[in-house]
Amino acid sequence: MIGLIISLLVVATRSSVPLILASVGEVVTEKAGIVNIGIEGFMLLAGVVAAVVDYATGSPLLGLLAGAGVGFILGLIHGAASAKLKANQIVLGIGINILAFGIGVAVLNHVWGNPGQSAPLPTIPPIRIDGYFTTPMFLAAIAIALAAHYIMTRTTLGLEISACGEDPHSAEALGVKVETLQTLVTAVAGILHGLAGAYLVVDYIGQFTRDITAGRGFIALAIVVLSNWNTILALAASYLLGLAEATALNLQAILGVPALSDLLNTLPYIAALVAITIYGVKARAPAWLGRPYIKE
Amino acid sequence: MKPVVEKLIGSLIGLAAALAAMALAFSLLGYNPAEAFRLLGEGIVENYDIMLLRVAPLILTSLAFAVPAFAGLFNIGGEGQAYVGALAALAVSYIAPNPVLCLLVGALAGGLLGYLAGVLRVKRGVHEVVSTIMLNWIAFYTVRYIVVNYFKNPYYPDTTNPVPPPGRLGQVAGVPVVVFIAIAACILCYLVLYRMPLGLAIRSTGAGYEAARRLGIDVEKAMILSMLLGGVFGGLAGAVIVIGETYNLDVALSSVYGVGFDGIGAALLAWNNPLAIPFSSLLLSALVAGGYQLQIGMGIDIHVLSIFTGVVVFVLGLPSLYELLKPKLQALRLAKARRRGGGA
Repeated sequence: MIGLIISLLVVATRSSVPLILASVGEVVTEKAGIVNIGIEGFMLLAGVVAAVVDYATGSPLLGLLAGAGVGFILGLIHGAASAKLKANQIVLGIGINILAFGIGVAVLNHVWGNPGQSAPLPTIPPIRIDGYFTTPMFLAAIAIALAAHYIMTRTTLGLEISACGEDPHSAEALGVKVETLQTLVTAVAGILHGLAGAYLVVDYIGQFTRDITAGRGFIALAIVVLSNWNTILALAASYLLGLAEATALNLQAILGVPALSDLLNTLPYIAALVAITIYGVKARAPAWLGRPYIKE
Repeated sequence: MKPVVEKLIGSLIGLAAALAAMALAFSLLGYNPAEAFRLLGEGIVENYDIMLLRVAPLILTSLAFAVPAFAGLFNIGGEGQAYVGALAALAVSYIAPNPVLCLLVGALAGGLLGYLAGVLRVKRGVHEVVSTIMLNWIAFYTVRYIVVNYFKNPYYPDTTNPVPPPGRLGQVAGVPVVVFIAIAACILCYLVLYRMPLGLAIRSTGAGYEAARRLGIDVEKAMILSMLLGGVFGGLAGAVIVIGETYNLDVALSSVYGVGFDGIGAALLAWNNPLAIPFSSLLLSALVAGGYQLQIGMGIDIHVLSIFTGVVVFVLGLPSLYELLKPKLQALRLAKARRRGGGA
């Protein structure tokens, strides 16, 4: 029993990484007043590019780097379209998700001749401790979350970012270039979304499949609300929802009833939905979240 | 409200951008874009029966997105609502093979899912984008669980037992009956939105939540009912696939998979207008019909067409070119007027 619990807790260190990266990125983006529904698409596109780079070079690290780059570019596009062009942020995000799915299938089709999945890819070597193994990316994700928390709560930059989301007119009056800052924040957070997607491919799963993200981008959006827009709480909530995924995986292995695997698969989504239903009502979003700020 | 011409131009720009993106994707993948588009066109002519079969569910998932959009809500759960609608229709057909009953129960199942998301939004502040996506995945796995474990066809284990013949809808004059049902749904939707108090409440809520509330409109009820209605159309979309098109489901739910998201594209292309939705849906289903030819002729998977839908949605999320240029045009006009004034 103790062994089972430890093993669950360890598997959760691996399953929570994409949730930590994506939700921390999105907390900061939403603090700046921009909502990114397209995280799922960011992760998919970064994932497929990471897969191609990993496949071509044999280096999962280069794949990770490429994924980060894809995330940055997508973030720049989403940020600029939202902040400068005053686009409908939710519609843009839906568009990116659908587009990314199509591109993922196209690349799979072209590179591996299979529209469903890629070949197995080289992965980042795990950290082994006493028979259990975890990923160095878990430590990296925690470091990123802590750094984001420090920036958001202890620096002027963090204050300026929050001001963009709470009261952009005052922020502008105090000399913050709101549109530019919003764009850059979305782009930098895009790096985290990109890393999240690439991690799935070059570490957690070890191949690219067309549905590899499986709603994780949206679970991250739920986590943002659960955390009440706090990066440390987002880290904690991500771990708990990672635990839900680990539990589903472990139960499948323990029960050994393949028939039940589909039902167990619903566990992380139910956990996210129930959690947000119970705790979401207390959360308070940034005042200008998703609203186009128009300079006077 | 934007003038119709401006909307039409916006949609055409979206379509042009999507075509350009497809051409770019084809050439990047090493295919000849001209040849690909020729195959697409050929497919539309050859597979016009597929086009007609696909247009019905697409119209209905467009409505699933459009109705809540009038209340200011984003129902991206058309996908999950279609899964449960398909399953419910299939289940009913085994017990009571009556197409009307199957469609009704399918619509009800989707409606319940939409209603749930609406209640969560209004009562608990759960954003509908998050809840509907969670529900999509929960629905996908649950439906697949039931399909695999309870409805499996012993002779063809990849599919379910078929809908018994008395439960099926066929064709009238070469047109699938479900197409008429989908078009009737559009007209009904238009009447509800523009001729009934509920529609007024829904549209007012979307136009200005606070103002509508102060005018005494029950905005919470309008939001919940818009999601319920959206869910009903989403569920109906799944039901018409099973009752009027495939007569079964496969273990990957591939006949339903993606139809919810394509519906969002068709809805946006039609600016959510229920009377324009049949046309935008026909366009996207023509693309699907062409896509089959592309798959046969060039080995390009049909899901690559999501690039087209995705670009359409993305571009329609952007402010229209005219809106971007408006301040510049006005400045230009003003400068011209000044110059003329100075000369006189």
